[in-house]
Amino acid sequence: MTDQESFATLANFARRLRSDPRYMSYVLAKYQQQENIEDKDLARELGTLPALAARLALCKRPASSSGQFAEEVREIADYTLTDEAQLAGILRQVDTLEKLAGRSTLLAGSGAEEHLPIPYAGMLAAARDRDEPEADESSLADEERPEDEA
Amino acid sequence: MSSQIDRKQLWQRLHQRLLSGSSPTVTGEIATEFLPVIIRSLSRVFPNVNDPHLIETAAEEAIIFYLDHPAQFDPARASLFTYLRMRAKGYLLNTLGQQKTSQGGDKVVELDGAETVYRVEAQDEGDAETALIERESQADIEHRLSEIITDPAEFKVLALMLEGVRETSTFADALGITDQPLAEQTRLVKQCKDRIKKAVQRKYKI
Repeated sequence: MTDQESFATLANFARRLRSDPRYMSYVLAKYQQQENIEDKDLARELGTLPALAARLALCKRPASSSGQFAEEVREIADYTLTDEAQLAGILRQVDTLEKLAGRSTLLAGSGAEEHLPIPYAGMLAAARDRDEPEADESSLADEERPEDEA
Repeated sequence: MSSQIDRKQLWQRLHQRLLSGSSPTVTGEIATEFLPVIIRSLSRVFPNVNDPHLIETAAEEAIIFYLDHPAQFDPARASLFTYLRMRAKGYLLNTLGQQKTSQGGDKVVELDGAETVYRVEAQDEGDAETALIERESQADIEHRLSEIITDPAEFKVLALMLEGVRETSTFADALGITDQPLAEQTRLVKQCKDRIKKAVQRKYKI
């Protein structure tokens, strides 16, 4: 089995786990949907090798409500050579949109949405908004990182 | 032989970490370690299976079952590699049997999730050598990253990160800073890891 075949094998397996919310594969798939990122661009978006992006997808999804969240994100970031601030942001974004979507679905069934001050659809759209300058995101991530350059 | 022992020790540690449920990366480590070699091993045993996806799917099923039910693996009976390969073989035989039946062939031989095969072949460790892998995938990743991380000590740290190592002492040893106070070791190790990740990001990020 060549390097490429091994990578393809793991990437296929990761694709299979996209429907399982316990895995990062699910989170990344949701993130790709929200941000309109194609599979081939995901590794570059994460700033890592495609093989390591596949590994990332095979990791368990840290629960953002857990006290271990930061440590678990750091562990995944170390293992996949990704940026922990970016990973944490992706996880929180997907969590938030899932929760909003869940509440929106519940409310849609109850008729309670009429009493909401802000339409949930608008909130979802705002949360997904990618028109803001991307530099803001990266500079924020940089601020969260420790000084580590020699 | 010693590398085979090392490998089995690694598998034991992976199993313990999966059982403890404390590591978010262990599922990825297990899939990376076993999936390609199980597929390769089954492809050798079943060279006449026309659809390679059947083998791939069987191997995936075995891994998924194990990740969901790690306590069903008994390390006293076989190595993790043997267990996973036997489960995958069981899934594959069931699928092939069902196909044969649907095409009007012989009756399916139910293998009950490969448990029978596991019992019969638990001691067959011959193919464990298969898993003393040619870890090409890891080697390829390390080769590509060696162009970015040129300092030998930092490269050792990088290799440990890719293996899912977490203990600060192991990293401190690789960096040759074990004589420093523990807090300083922790700081320097984190600094080195961050520097490595940033260098990789600079190279590969859009």
